[in-house]
Amino acid sequence: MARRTTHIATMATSETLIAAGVKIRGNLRSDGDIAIDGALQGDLKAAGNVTIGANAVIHGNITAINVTLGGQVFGNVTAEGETVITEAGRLEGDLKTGTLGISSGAAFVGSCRTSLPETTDAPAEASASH
Amino acid sequence: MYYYITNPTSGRGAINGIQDKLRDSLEQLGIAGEFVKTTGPGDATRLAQLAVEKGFQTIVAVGGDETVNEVMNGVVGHTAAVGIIPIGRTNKLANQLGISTWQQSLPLLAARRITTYRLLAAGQHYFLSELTIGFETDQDKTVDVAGSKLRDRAKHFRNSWRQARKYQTLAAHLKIDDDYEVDCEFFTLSVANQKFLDPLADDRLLISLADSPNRRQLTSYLWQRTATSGAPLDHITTRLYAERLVVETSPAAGIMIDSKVSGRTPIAIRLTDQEIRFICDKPENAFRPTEKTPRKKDLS
Repeated sequence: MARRTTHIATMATSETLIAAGVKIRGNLRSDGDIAIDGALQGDLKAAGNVTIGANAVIHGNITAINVTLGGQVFGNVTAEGETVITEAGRLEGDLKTGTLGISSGAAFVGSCRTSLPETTDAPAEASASH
Repeated sequence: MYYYITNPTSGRGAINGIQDKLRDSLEQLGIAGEFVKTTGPGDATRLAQLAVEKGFQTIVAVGGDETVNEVMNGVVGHTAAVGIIPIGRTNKLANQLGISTWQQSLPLLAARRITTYRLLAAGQHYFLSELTIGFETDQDKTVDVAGSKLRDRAKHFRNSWRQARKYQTLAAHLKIDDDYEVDCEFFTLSVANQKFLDPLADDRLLISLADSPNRRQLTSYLWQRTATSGAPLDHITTRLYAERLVVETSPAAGIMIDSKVSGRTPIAIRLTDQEIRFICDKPENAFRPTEKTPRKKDLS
């Protein structure tokens, strides 16, 4: 199978790396970051950031701080911080994230729930003081 | 008192040329001790065991990676510290500890700064860095001996290049920590204690796989190997961490531990509770930051 040559700059610096062509069955956990460009049949949980490369195909749930999704994910994604789905990214599953960014061309089938920014009544108080 | 285990064949008999100078220097530094010579493979382990039984607290391997590994296997389970005077053909272990020449190793031995590592085990064989499977191990050993002359090194490089270009990657199945299994192909696979490569890191198995390198990567890798007798492939494509690992390859492949061929796949590798105390360039606490570094989670 011809491998797409798209690489994500962060892959080289990530703690756990999984190259294109590598197939994993089971649950993958990391105390740091994970960058995956291979196939995973199982859940992925990281205490840091997760980067899904263009060649990656993941059948399982993802839990991380920030998620950059450039491959195919069939499962739910939970990110405390930011989730970015790039133009090559495809997510079929529910997404729960702090903030969300979706590039033109990305595919997302599922529901999404983002954290609402904290509301303050400071402006009202400020205007009252004038 | 220090106990020096010398491998007279290390570095093509390098000890013969430096013996007097070495003994004088050790005496001047106040760390002269008992010298013994190995007589064959495995002898350094036996001598190291004898030394710790006699009560020596500092056992110094005078040789290359093979000698250090043997000494380490003899000291396992004891509190004695291991020092290195690197005179071998491959001195990866010493280099990783910040020791590049035998002259530089002497004041470090006298300073006796110690870092403790947990050992890895492949079957009953202990090691720290590193176990390799793949091209490096399978490479024809007649080619793997680079002479000291430029012409010999060029010949070694040419032959290695030819072998590498036609080398078929190995198909492998890895079982990691009973959590997950990996199917992959690799050019080289190496396993080391992460802490040995990064003193700030915890003791863990660091599993690195490299895919077939391109021409530039291969040239750089082989030239460094020829010139320095040991350089890692700089294009690691897969990096995993574990406590336990089982490697199966198809076909079965040779395993090299600390530059010595030590069996064939399948092989089980684990992080053990056995500790080894190494004399190195910096003490362990010199690497530690004074304030706790916030975790990524805390920063977000």
